[in-house]
This record gives sequence, C-alpha cells and structure tokens, in this order.
Amino acid sequence: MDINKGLIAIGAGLAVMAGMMTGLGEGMAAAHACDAIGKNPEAESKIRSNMILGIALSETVAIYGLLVSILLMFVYPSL
Amino acid sequence: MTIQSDVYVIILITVLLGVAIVLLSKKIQKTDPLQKPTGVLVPILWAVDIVHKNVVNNVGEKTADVLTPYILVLWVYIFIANTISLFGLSSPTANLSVTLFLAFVTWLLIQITELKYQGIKGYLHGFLEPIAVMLPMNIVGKFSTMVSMSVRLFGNILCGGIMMQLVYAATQGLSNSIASLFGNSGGVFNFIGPLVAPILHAYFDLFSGFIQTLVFVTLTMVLIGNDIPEEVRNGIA
Repeated sequence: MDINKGLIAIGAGLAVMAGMMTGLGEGMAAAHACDAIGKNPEAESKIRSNMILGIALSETVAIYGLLVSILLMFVYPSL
Repeated sequence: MTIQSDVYVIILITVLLGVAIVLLSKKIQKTDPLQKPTGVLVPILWAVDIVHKNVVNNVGEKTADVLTPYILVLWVYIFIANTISLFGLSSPTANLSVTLFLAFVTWLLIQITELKYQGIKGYLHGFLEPIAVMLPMNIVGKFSTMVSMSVRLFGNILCGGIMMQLVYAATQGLSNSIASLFGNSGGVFNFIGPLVAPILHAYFDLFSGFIQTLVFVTLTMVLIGNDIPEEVRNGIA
C-alpha cells in the first residue's frame, strides 16, 4: 500500500469531524424547539420553520466538512 | 466518454412526471369546479391546498400565487427522486448536477425577490453592510446559499445510498462465512440481507428522503419570505 493513500484517508476522516459538534448543536436546537412547542402549542408551525432554518444554517459547517472529505478522496488523488 | 447511469434515471423520472402532469391537468380542466371532486383528484387537490396554505404562511398571500407551483414541483420531484432508490435505481438527487440546478433556481428566486423589494441600489448597498471591508465576505455569502443547499441534499442522499451498499456488502460477507461453516465454500445467496435491509431502507430512503425534501422546501420558502417586508407578507400594503 502507498502511504499517500493512507494519509489522504486520515485527512478525509479529520475533515468529517466538523460534523461532531454540529450534531450536538442541532440536537440542542431541536430540544429547545420541543420545549417551545410544549409551552406554546399554537405557534408550532412558526417554531418548526424557524427550527429548520436554524438547523440548516448550522448544518452548513458539517456539509463543508463532508465536501472537503469528498474532494480529498475523489479529486485530490487524481491531481 | 461514458454516460452515467444516473442520466437515464433522470430522463425517466422527468418524462414520467411530465406525462402524469399533462394527463392530470387535462383531467382537472375537464371537471366542473362546482361539483365535488372524485377519484384521483381528491388527494391531489388536498395536497395542493395544504402546500398553498403553508406557502401563504411563509411568504404571504401576494407572492404565494406565484410561488406555490414551484414549491409543488419541488415536493413531487425531490421526493420521488429520493425514494426511487427503493426500486433499485440510482437516485437522481445523488448526482450533484441535479441538486445544484435545483438550488440554483431557488437562489435565483431569492435574488429576484431581493431586487424587487430593495431596488437595485439597496441590493448593491447590501454588499457593503455593515462596513465596506465586508465586501468579499458578502459576495461569498451570497453564493454560499446555493452551495450549502445543493450539497446538503446531495450529501444526505449519497450517504444513504453508500450506507445501503455497505450493509449489503457486509451481510453478503456474513452469509458467506456462515455458509462456509457448513462446508459450502462458494458464494451463497445473501440470506441475512433481506432480514436487516427493510428497516434501513425505510430509514435511509423513505424517512431521510422525506425529511430532506421538507428541509429543502422549507428553506426555499423561508429564505424567500425573509426578503419580503413584513407589511407585504401580512397583506397590509
């Protein structure tokens, strides 16, 4: 096995670690949204769309990590 | 140059949806609007009604008439594209070209809404806020919506597909090693796969596909709605 291949794999693995804290943050956002719905059941649709917006914005970080790891695995070796 | 197998699935879905929509719209035009709807029209009218109410909640009465057809197309196309992998075909949304174009249309709609309500001067001035030094950041920020929306859908669906392939490979290996215990050394039928796969298909294809459609559609509505002033949204102006 070529050692470069292993190094690229380690880099790709480190890149997707961007999703580690994102999972925690999204879980917290969903938990607070559930709390808010429990307090204010009539505002459910507004809370849901705001929660999805917030989760989607914070998910961007994890997605960039995924993008970097995909680039590392499929594009970088062929350069 | 080889053609990816995704392309055939994309063409297949587009043609099927186009035929279905043309046939249904002919049927709707023929029916009397004063009569009660019957047969296949009932769920369709119900779905259109729900989506229209949802769009009105987010962008207001005025824009909703223009936006509802696009949102309906997004719902139907993305959901069918995400769940077509249940039939053994590759998902079109696991191809970045498809999701990038969908996100590009949404992004274009957002820019048009901004231009409409802020004017060309306000739109260009938005690049210099809060201070002029932020210009490169704001230019990147404009395009980041497109990139993040497309890669979110693409990444989720692609990862679901890769997971299912890994599960099938793992269960195949497990089946082979169990069969070799009983003296059968060749490749055998993957008999563990059908026991494990259905629940995972339900999660990765149906549930994840539905949630990603919901997220894409909701983001489209919310991002467009954010650029519309409050008075227009509430129908006062």
